[in-house]
Amino acid sequence: MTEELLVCSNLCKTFLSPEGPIKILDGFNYTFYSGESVAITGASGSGKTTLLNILSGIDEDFSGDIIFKDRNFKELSQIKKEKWRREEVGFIFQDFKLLPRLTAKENVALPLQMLGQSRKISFLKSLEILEKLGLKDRSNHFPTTLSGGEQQRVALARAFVNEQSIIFADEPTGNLDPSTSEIVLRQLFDLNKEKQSLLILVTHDLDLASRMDKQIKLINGKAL
Amino acid sequence: MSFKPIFLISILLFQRQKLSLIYASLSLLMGVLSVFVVIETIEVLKSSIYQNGQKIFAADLSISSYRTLNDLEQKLINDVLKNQMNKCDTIEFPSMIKPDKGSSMLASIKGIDHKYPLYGRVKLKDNNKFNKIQRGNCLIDYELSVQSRCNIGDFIQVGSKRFQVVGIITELPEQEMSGGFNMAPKILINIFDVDDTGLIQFGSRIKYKSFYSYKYFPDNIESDIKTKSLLLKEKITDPGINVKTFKESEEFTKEILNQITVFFMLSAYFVLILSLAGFGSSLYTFLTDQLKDIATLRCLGFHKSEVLITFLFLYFIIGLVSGFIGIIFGKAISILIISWLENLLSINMAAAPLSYKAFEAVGFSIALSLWVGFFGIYIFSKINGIDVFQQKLKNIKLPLFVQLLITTGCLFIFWIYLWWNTDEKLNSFYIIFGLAILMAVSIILIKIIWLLLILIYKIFPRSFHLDLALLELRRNQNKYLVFLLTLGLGSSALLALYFVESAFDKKLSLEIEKKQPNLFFIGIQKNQVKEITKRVRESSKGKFYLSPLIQARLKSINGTSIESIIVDLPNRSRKRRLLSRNFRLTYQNKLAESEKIVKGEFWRDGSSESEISLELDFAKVTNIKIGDILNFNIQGKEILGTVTSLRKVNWGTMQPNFFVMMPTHILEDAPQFTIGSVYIENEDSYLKLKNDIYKIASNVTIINISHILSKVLNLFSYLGIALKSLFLLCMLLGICILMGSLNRTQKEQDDRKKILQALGWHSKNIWIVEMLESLIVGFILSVLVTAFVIPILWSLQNLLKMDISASVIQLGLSFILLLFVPFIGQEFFRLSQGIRRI
Repeated sequence: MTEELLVCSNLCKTFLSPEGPIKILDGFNYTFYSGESVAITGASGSGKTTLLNILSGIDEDFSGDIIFKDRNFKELSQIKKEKWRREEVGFIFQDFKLLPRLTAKENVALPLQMLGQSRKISFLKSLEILEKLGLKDRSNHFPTTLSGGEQQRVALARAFVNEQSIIFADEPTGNLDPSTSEIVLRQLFDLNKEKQSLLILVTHDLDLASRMDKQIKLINGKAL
Repeated sequence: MSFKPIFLISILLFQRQKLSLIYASLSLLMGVLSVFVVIETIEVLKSSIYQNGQKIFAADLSISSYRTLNDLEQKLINDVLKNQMNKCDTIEFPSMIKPDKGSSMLASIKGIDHKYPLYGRVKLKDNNKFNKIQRGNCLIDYELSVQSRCNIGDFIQVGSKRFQVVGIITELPEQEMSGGFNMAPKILINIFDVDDTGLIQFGSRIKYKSFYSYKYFPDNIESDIKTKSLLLKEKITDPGINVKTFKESEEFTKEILNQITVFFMLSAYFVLILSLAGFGSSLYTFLTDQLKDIATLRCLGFHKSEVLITFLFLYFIIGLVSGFIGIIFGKAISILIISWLENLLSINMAAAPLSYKAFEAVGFSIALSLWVGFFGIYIFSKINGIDVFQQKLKNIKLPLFVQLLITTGCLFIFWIYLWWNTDEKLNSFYIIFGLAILMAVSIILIKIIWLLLILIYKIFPRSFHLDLALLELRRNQNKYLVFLLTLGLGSSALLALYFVESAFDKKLSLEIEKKQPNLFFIGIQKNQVKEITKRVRESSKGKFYLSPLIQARLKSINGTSIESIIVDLPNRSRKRRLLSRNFRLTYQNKLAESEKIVKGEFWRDGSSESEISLELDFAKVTNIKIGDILNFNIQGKEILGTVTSLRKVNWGTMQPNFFVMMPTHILEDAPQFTIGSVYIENEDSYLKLKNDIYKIASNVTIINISHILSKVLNLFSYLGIALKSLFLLCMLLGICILMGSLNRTQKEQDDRKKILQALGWHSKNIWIVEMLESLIVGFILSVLVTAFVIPILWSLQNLLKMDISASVIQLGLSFILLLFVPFIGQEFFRLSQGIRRI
């Protein structure tokens, strides 16, 4: 059963440039439901990534309201916002953003260990999800020895390992070739379906966007 | 391709990686600077001595002895020198003097004839002109004029004659390094006044020295003087007569300087090798960062040789600039050191303008820079650009054999440079080999500490913060390896030096507490013993130790002459020095408190046998055993004796002790004087006693050990400062390497921070991980330093036979201090770069 997860009302964000203020978001309104997948599309510089950063609580410099399960972001302290991110949010970045000195297994176990889970349990869960993604034999490899596709699948595992309720993905296939992209996307959709998370994906690839449940097109800082 | 694009790309590379390359250059600069300072200083010292060889020696040839030469010996000398040389005579002896204005003090009296000096000059204060000294007049050196508050026109009592001061000496010839240390300030008097002082008595310590210089210089002065010297040495058989040429003096000085050079070069190379490790690691990281740029250049059609030349050009510039700045700073420091040395050694030295040594040092810097950088860029230049863009090639590691090749090459360049500059082929090899071993041991030690740390950590409960910090560090050990090596070894050396200095201070104060004798009386004649003892008793409650002293030379052992025993021994051998030295014998029928027989039997009181008791260590070194027959020459008279016992002497008691001792009746009639020692409480008692003794026995020299010690400690403090500066430079280098390393990994750190923050970690947690990383590195550093310092101190303790152990509190404090060094370094870097914590 779907429920309201993130409710955005009148989100505005302005950048100051030498030429004057630039409005990136101009009254963005939208309600995200659990278990759905939503694509955010738009031209370069349209504010896709900015919106993602605001929704994930990383960027706090905006006006408007974001309500998560009846709690307004504005009323949450920094520490509570971080706790929320640890417990509820998973990230997938275009350039994978894995810690280079940690193995695949250790990278995946990071969110669990941050929540205070023991090393042993974290590693077990980490291996479990890596096995599901066909990466068990690569679990002790460092990111630099993995291919791009493998690195992004490790990032997928990290995002889903804690049963997070929201997954933010910023151009997750932007650095991958088409065949590898397809493998990664299939695994992303499968995991999302299985875990019933809200997947918010930023992309400029319209084909990819069309495979999502809903699409938001950002034009002049507004959702279409 | 023309040179222009290569030049432009090199400049661009430098601009983009400015900070990283500046830290790399700084490492090389410090290494070059330390080596250049040492070489330049020694070079100036050597050239000053070589250029002024005759002036420093004050003659072409000199003949000295502790007695006047007889007619036969004088005739032999005249026959060899054939009236081709000018001659001047001097008589030198230490004595107490009494200035009218001050209290009595020790001085070195030198009687000179009107021809003195044959070379060099006697320079007087206020540009007064030096002429021959009229009878009844004297010249005093500047130190003495300050100490005694004497000025021109004042009078000084020397023995039974009063002298009027007519000049104050600011410069004297005869500044050769004799291996000794002249404690007493000098007074020059007319040689014909010496007898009038009444200080020349039976057995007194008087040095008669004749200086010779050529009237007309022969074509080959060096070979001619050598021939004459050899002839004289062959004809004059008395080993107490010493013939020496200015060339021999130079050789001796050269030997001393080479020993000093080797010692300081060891420390300088210590800095250099560490700086190169830092430099190499910086260059490699720089190269890794440029992988994409190299790939781009290759894709744009740059041939691998052009990539190679571009980077080598950059390395050449780094080597050139580092070397150039290194020699500029090095020259300035060297000028400073030379001015210190001038004061310390009383040798006039002119700091030369930048010599060919500077070019050598710049060449050395460029050679090292190119050598360290060459193999890396050679391997990187061969890449296929597209492999990098397709992520098939993400990183290139230098194979182990290449790393070893670079290291060996650097050591070889060091060796050539050191050998070229010191003429010490073998020592240079040992230094380089020793340094390589030291580095290897240090790296192994760091790895072992790591393993132990991990092992300990596994036993205790874990925290995620510590887990992450340890993981990150373990997998990036090279980031801190060079820093640990540099700061670890520098701190170890500095800490060991500190503990040694403290041990010396402690020993000194303990000796003072123990009321060991601190005042020595030299030259007491037999008839003065009673009266002097009485005066000493009045001023001190301490025991007055008295021993007769007879000067002699060892002529033969079991009938074999000393010359034939030492002929094959190396110049530096201790056995050679001990056997050929001027002996001081004593006689007594009872053992002193500080002596104990360890082998054989000591003679019974009143023994009439010609027996000898030898000091144990002396017997060991010279390989003399019980039953051996020794033949001593005591001012022309030969005395035979059989070794019947070996004694262990506690030299630390400051009582008069001797290597060779015989029964009383054998030596009691030999030319002799008595030496004494006593503990005196304070400076007032010392001054009173000194003046009392002067009144009744002006020939007796009184030496206050604490005054001498302050001079010796002053000398050591100069050496200490020089060494500390080198080790501090080493530590500074360590900090510089840490900064470079932090700068290189800043991007990685920032990325990690962003990822962890995105995953929901508070900045405080990230800061805890960073702090733990610093503390772990600090912990390894502290353990490393402790692991080095303890064996160093243990070795020194055994070598110097004194207590140099460090207290647990001191070691603990240094441990804690070092623990926080990386953390402080990291915070300093963060602040200097304006990096916000949150």
